Amino acid sequence: MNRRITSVADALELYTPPFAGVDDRWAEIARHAVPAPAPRRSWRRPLLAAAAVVVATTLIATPAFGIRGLIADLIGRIDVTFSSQQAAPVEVKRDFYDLGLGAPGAFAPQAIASEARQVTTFSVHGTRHALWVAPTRSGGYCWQIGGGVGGCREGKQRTTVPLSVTYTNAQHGAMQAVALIAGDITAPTAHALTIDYADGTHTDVPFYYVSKPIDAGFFFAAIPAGHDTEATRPRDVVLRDAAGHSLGRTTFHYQTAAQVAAHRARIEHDLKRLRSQKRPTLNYPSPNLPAPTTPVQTGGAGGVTVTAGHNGVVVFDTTDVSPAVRKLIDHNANGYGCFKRLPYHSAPVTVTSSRTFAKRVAIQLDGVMSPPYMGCVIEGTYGHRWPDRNGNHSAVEIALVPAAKTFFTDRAAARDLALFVRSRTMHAVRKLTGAALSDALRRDYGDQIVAGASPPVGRIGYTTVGATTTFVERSPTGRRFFISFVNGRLHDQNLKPYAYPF
Amino acid sequence: MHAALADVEAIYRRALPSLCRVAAAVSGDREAAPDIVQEAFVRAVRELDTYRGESALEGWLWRIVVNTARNHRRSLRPTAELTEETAAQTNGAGEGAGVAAAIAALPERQRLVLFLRYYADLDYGSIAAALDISTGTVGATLNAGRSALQQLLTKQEVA
Repeated sequence: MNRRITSVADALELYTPPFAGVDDRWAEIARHAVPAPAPRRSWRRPLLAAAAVVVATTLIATPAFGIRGLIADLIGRIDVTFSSQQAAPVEVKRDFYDLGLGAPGAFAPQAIASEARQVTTFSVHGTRHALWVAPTRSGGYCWQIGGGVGGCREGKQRTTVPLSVTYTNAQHGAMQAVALIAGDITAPTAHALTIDYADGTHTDVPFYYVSKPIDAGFFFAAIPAGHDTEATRPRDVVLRDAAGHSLGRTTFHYQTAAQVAAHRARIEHDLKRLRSQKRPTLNYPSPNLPAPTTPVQTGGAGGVTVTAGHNGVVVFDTTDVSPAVRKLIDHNANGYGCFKRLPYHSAPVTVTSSRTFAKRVAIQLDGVMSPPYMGCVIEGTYGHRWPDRNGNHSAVEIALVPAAKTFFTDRAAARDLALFVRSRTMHAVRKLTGAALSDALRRDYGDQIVAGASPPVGRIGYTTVGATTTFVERSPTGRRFFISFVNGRLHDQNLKPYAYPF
Repeated sequence: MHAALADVEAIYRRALPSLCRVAAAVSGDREAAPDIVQEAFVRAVRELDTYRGESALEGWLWRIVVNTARNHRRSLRPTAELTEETAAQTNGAGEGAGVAAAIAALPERQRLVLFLRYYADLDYGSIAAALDISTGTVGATLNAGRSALQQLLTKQEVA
């Protein structure tokens, strides 16, 4: 079955879909309206960059004397002015913002996501990894490198932890050796960072020291080749001031071959024991929480009522739950939660807590996500297949504001498409293209799936062009979701954060 | 005549999704679109003193955005025009390489007029200011672009 796209408007709609939830960067833009003072360029930085190239190519690990000492002195610390760094993109700001989601108030790092900036990029094994930093409200900072390594440090930890090193070990037969190091430095007088090896040689590691409000240094480096034997592997990392005094040290601890073998045996034993046991039934009773305080939000659906208080306590009352809904949630572990719009997120964010079904279930969202909420939900744990037994909706969906209904409708359409492409049958079918794909879809799904990029609401459409196959579903609200595959591999989609395809 | 920063801010806030959409379409780089818009507006607020009021402020801002996006596209692929391959890859149009090819086949001015009209919903005067052409040319180019795209699309087969 073939279809021609002949509408100019449809074509343009396909060509560049609309943007939603774009990060407002006006504050960053407006800063440039005022003439900036003449930049004060440090004489060190160009020198350091040049020296770094020299060291990277010729002097990675050399004895601690002669020219190495001179260059190490130049490349140790690279000062960076926080305020002149490029603002982080919305995805990174969202990562920093989300650090506070789901964490109890006292543990939330309170990163100021709007202030997140890119400091530099580290090149490790030929791949560039960006370093992002953001100050926190406690006077500390959060950092991350390429979405992998990172962490947060409270302001009060600045004086107690001058050097923190994260490292990964590579296994060489039964012998271990550190392969990568990353970390942060809080000592303002830090001048040089050195990896010492077991054979007495060492390598100087450049680090970027970011000015206030961060006031900390960061590093990420691969251990140079040739340090993967017991006699040559890294021994420790040492931070020194300009006078050569040690400010902090991290010593690497390696397991012996016998210890590694014993550790593996212990893990195997534990796994075997766990597999042989019957999985225990876990219960999640409601804790004793205060009553929701005024002003409260109230709503209901399916015989379930919800009361969300100003104190973040949310109570679900299922006394009058309908039999159909009860069937979906009469389990030991449901997800009870609420949702709202949050900065940097293109769709409302839902936070849930696991609770066992009961007539009265209470959760505490204060400190995790403050009220007011757009709505609340109970997510059943009955397993989700395509087609979903509850029409891709949560077991209970309670709208506290009108916009919540739009969210529920859009999410159901996105979930439908995600569940469809995630199904076992589709994992095989989506690798096909052209006529073979059309034949397989017709065979397996009949008229449930239609050809073309503009299917009627409630149906899934598809197009196949060359190696690219795209599935499309429209929400009754007018929103259009799609997911495309190239040679069966996920290529592009706009289902997240409503649904998660794979 | 000097525009106030507040006027620029109002346009930025009101039109941000459209600005990003046009930036993505022109540059062929959807991910970079917010950065392109930011760069364009930084340039605009820096050069606000040079805005003489000869055209509508909004048109002047759109011109900067379009030019910044075009520069970005050139920086991505210095010697190539927007091709079927780049368009399909960068505009999330994995679902419609044929559509991308049809749009890429249009003359650049027709493409830009279509983008500004459909994605930003600009009137002819603002499009004229943005592209530094006359209002009459906007109308003619828009008609020509629509017709050309329509013809190209009817030749494209999407199974």
